[in-house]
Formats: sequence, C-alpha cells, structure tokens
Amino acid sequence: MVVDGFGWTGKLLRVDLTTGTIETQVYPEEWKVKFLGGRNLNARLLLDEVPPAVDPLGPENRLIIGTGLMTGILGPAPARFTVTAKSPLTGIYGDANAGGDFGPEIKYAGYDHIVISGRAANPVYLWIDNDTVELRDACSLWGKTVFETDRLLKKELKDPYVKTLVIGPAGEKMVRFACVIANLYRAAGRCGMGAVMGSKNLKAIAVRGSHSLKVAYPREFIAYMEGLFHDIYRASNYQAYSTLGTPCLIRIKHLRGEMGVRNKQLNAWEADKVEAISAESFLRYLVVKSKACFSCPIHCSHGYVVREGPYAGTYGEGMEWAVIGPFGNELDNPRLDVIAKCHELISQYGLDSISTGLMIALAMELFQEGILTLKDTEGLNLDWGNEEGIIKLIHLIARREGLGDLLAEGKRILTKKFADAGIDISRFIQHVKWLDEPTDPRSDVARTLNYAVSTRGADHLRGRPSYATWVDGGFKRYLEKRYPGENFADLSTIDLRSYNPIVADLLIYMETICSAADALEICKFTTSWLAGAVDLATMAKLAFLVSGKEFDEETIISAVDRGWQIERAFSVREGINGDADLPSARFFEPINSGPHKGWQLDRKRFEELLQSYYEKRNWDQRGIPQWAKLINLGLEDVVGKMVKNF
Amino acid sequence: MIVAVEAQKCTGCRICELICSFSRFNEFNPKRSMIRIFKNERMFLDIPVLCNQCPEAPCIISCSAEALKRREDGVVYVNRDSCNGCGTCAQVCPTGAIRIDPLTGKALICDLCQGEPQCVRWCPTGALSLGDFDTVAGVHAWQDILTEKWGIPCPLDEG
Repeated sequence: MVVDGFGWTGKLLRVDLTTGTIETQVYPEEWKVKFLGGRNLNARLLLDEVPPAVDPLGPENRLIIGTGLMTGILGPAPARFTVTAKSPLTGIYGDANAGGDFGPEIKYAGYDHIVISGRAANPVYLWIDNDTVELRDACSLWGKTVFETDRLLKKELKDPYVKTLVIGPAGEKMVRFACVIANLYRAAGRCGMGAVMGSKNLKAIAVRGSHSLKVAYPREFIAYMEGLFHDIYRASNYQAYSTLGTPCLIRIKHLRGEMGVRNKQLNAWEADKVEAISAESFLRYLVVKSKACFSCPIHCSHGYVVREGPYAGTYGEGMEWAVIGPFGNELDNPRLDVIAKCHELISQYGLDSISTGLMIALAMELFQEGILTLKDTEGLNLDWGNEEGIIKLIHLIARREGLGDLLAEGKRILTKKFADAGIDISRFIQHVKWLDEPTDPRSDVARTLNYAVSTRGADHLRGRPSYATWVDGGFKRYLEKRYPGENFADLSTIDLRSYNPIVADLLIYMETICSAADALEICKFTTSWLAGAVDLATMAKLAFLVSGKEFDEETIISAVDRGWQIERAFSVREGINGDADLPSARFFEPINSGPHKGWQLDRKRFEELLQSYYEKRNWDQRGIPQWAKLINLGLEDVVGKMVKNF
Repeated sequence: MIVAVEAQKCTGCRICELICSFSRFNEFNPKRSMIRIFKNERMFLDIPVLCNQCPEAPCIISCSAEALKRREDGVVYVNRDSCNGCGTCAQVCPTGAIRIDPLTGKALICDLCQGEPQCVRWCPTGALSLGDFDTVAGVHAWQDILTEKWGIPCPLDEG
C-alpha cells in the first residue's frame, strides 16, 4: 500500500492489548491543519480517549506515540516523536519526546500515530512490518535490559536495520519515572512513559517501514531546504552545539548562577569541579566521535568511552547536560567517569536521567538532614558525592529493592508517604506539578514562569524564554500583531528578573515555538529556541511546501494553541487549577550563593505575573481555559470534556 | 571515481539516504536509497555502505540476466529493463551495498549521480568524499578499526 498524500500518512494504528485487536484508521482530514500532528494531536487523542480520574498504570490509560508532519522527511532534525499518556509520576497530562530513527521508521511503515490501549495478559512486543502488524510473545525478553532487548529483537527478526522502542527492567517494575528508549540511548524520558508501557505488559515496539514519503512541491522544497541547512550551519550557536553539544550548558549554568548543587541547596560550585564535568573535559577525556539523530546537521551527541580508572570499559552515546547535571553538580559529584557509569546504567534499566538523578539528590539531602538514616538505607552511605551510594541507588530504584522501592514512587507519592508518617519533607522537594528540573530558575523570573505554567510540570523544553533573542524578528512581529500601535523597538532593556507582564508574552511566544516544533516533530535545537534558523515563518513555509496546504504563522500559532489548551484542559479535568502553578517552597527561598546571592523571588509579584499569563492565554483567574476561547478555537467539545469533573 | 567513506566522521544522520532517494525518485525513502548507514547502536558505529565500483565486480560477473554492465567511465550500471530482481548481485557484493528496490523489485546500485554525488554534497561532516578505488573496506573492517581505535572492550560480545 502506497502512502497517499504529502507529509502525513493520514493514518493511525490502534492496538488494544487486552483483546489483541489491531486496526488501522484514517483520521479526519481536518485534523491535519487543525492540529498539525505530533505532540499536539497526541494531546487531542488523550483527552478524547482517557476517562477522568483513571489509574495511570491501569488498562484505561492510553500510550500514544505520535510522529509529525516533518518526521522522516529531509529537514532540520525531523527525527522526533512524542509519547503521551496520563502520567503515573505527576498524575496529570504527561508526555515525553525523543529523537533517533524510530519516529521516521513509523512514518515509513505508514502511520502518523499509534494508540495503545488495554493491558496484555502476558508480556508482548508489537512488530510493525509495514502493513503487517502483530503482537508477539515477549516472555523471554522480560527482565532484559534495553541493550539486550534491542539485540535480541534484531536477532529474532533477522534484520539489523529494524528500529526499536524499548523499556528496561525499570519500566517493567513500573518505576514512576521509567522512560522508553529508542536507538538504545534516545530516551523519551519525562513523566514515566516507561512505567505506562510496563503496566500494559508491552516490552517493545519493533518497526520496519519501506513506504515513501512525498512532498507537495519537491523542487521548491529541496531548494528551500538547501538554504535552510546553510542558515543552520551559519547560526550563532552551531559551532558550540555541533562540537560540545548540550554539555556546553555546564559552564553556562555555572556562570549564570542557575546550577543547582546538593539538591539545589546551593547555586554555586567550586570552579575546579565545574571544569571537571564541563563539556571541554568530556571531549578531552571521553568523547571518541560525534553522533546525530535522523537527518540532523547539528550532531550534538557523542560516542564516549571511559578508558582508565575503576570504570574503564564503560561506554555509550550521550551524555547530555540533563545527565551530567543531575548526576554531577546536583549530587556534588565532580567525576565524569562516575557520571558515565550512571548514564550507562540508566540507559540499560530505562530510567529518566533527570528524575533519577534528582531523586538521588533528594535522598542524599534527607540523609544529610537525618530524615533517612543508615537503618533506612541498610548501611548504605548517602553522603554527597559518594559514588558507591549513587550507583547502588540506581540499581535499587530500577529493581525496586529496599529503599529503592520507596524512591521509585516519585516525589508526589514519596511526599505523601512521609506526610502519612508525620514527617513533612516538602521543603526539600523542588517541583512544579510534581515534575522536577535540573536548572535552578529562581534568578530568572521569565524562566520561573515557564516552569510554573508548563503543561507537563517544570520543564525547560516547554518554552525557555530567557535565552530568546529579545529583538528576534518573529517575536517583534508577534507582539505588534497583538498590540497594534505600540512600539516594541527596544525590548532588550527589559530585565529578565523583572515582573513586567511582557515576560508573559515572551513566554507564550517561546511556548508556541516549542509546541510547533513538537507538532511538526523537528528538534528545537534548529529553532529560535536555540540556533535561530527555524522560526514560525520557516515552519509555516516548510508545512506548506511539504503538505501543499495553506499555512502561515497564524495557522501554526492557532494549531499549537489548541494543543496547549487541550493539555491544560486534561489536567484541569484531573483537578488541577492555578494553585498547582505555584512552584514549590524552595523556589521562594533567597538564593544563598553564586552571582545572584541575596536575590529572592517575590511571591506576590510572581502571582500577579501568573495572572497576566492567564489573561494572555485566555484562562480565568483560577488558570482554567475559558469556554469562549475554546469555542473560538473550534474546540467546543473540549468544554464538555473539561467540565466533567467540576 | 568512487564515493570514499571515512566512517570516523559519520554521525549516522542519514541525510545521505534521504537525498539519494530524493535525487533518484523524487521521494524520501531510505529503503530506496543506494547508500545506507549500517549502525551498531551499542557501540555508536555508523558505517556508510555503498558501491565501491570494484574493478573485478562480482555483481556484474554473477548477473545471469546480464542486467549489470560497466559504463565507459567505469561506473557499474543497472539496466532496469533487464533486471529480474533475483538478488544474486546483492548476495555476492563484498560490502553488502546492493539492495532490491521494495517498490520496483529491481537492483539499486549507486551510479554516482552522473559525477556529482548528492550524498557527498549534503554530508554535514565530510564523512563522504570523492575518491579513487582503494581497498574494499566493509562494515566488519570499519567495525574492527574503530572499536580498536576508541578502546571499546570486547566488541564481539555485544550486538
């Protein structure tokens, strides 16, 4: 069967694990322009199909995998796919995004989205070979690591070019921050999507696709793409990201006073420790090559090998800042070889690097405070930076053994369990909506607002307004359209620590860029979020050339606005309102070290800024999407779905 | 002339596969590409595989349909009318560079894009370049060279 149309395949694959039913559906044509696809359409499907208040680890939850319009097509890192479900970690809307080769292969097999429901009686894996789709026994794979599972699948299917999405033992054990992994190292990490997959007894998805993807205007498309690649190569951050990758953020976080040390008790670390885990040290001692996701000219990732010392023989692909930070500065651990060992282990077990590192940081602070004792840890020393303690905790969490069984529950349930025992640990826990973040955002009001309102909880991938170019042409156009007659000539004078309501506009603009990238499923590193080459106008142009449908900046803005409102509506239905947008206690404590020492977030003014944000998002004072806005966006049915739980 | 490979520089982005299928067929499909990236993901190996234009080409010798010829400029060429898709050429190719087009059932062999290979032009890192036939360095040779260079222990134990 040849895939019809341009860009999208127009089809979704439905798999009911309880009954074993597999069917292909053509989804409504109007959804394409209305939602674009990817994360955006995933959210729509989740709201439609998951009833209120279900157990995220029960069969009623869905696991939805979405590719985007650009996935699989030559372009600016169109490697991405989004995994969406109600999160077992946070209890609200959850999703996670990854690159690699898996998403494109799904498109080549002929599907835009995969919707998985129910629960298999015994472990299974899903084998998608173009139009032939079947559930296969995975009993012999259960208990195997991510690496072993991938190897055994390729062996069983007799094809080294098959692409896999796999959970490790942590997902099987339903560790609430277990992730799903593509290409062995490409984790859709956040919100516990691996636990959802494990709860369904689904060990893996293997896919092979040989359908072609066509674009509506091939000649114009390839000429445009050639120019865009040149823009990317010339972008200001290209050099840093193509050589250093995200570890370049280690030094930057330190200089900006955003580096959390010892579970964010401190914002400053010794300079020699910063250098020891910096990108420069990583490149000098461990890195052996550059690695890229599918169709990405940036190649921000690396192959690394530890060749000396007690961890010699450790190797892998990565490591991102989101691994090095949580297992480095947050644990006061300046040893790159230890961090590499942690990375290898969490990749094998299928654990989210951020939540795992920060959960160990929390355990170490509780140990420091005497709330956890040697009795609780069964003699394991959890002093800061103790490599034995760090590595042992990873094993314990992934296997849910001893103290690890408690930590595997995540911060929401952990806090409740301690509270039930009469111990208040809330001041040691940094989170928004129970998702935690490696950056300490306090010195940057815009970024704190970003974390506060992010639809999946504290998250640098949902906006990140701080690094945006204030004078970015796209943002200026955006503002002038919304505030006709006002002069926005010199935005660079606005302090990122100010509570100026324009911060909310900037955030919404950057949320729109990020959401649009997630809907098209291109990497944010090519967008205004970072390199500056791909802005909303570029995305609209790409969408037009690929699909042949009319797209402009406003079409894209509306499409991702729908997604944002739906993601919020899903969580509102689960009982969330504006109260949940207030960051946890430590965010409002004064900064005690580093370049911003003495600075404290003003709670009242921050709450006022939140109200500005709500207003600009057309939410009411409680942070709930207003019906008029939803109707205006053509989401009348969402009104009914959202209010069901009022 | 051949497309020479420097696997150390290959990041595995597969832009070559995309531009190859697009140049020939006006669509994106790595399975219709005449170059492909072999990956051993555990060891982050990315090895471009494509026709080496062997001087003593086993594919030409073994083709019972006589669909494979060498052009005057030395490039191996598939006559798509004669090719019956038997796959013998793919089996005898020392580097595994030949595949059968999933759409047409005919052999796919790199024809160097009439002297301007698009994969070379689009490769972000210079892992592909224009060169002359040297020795056939296949997947296994590259795997041995790179894992030894990088110091990866016991590569044969893991897949």
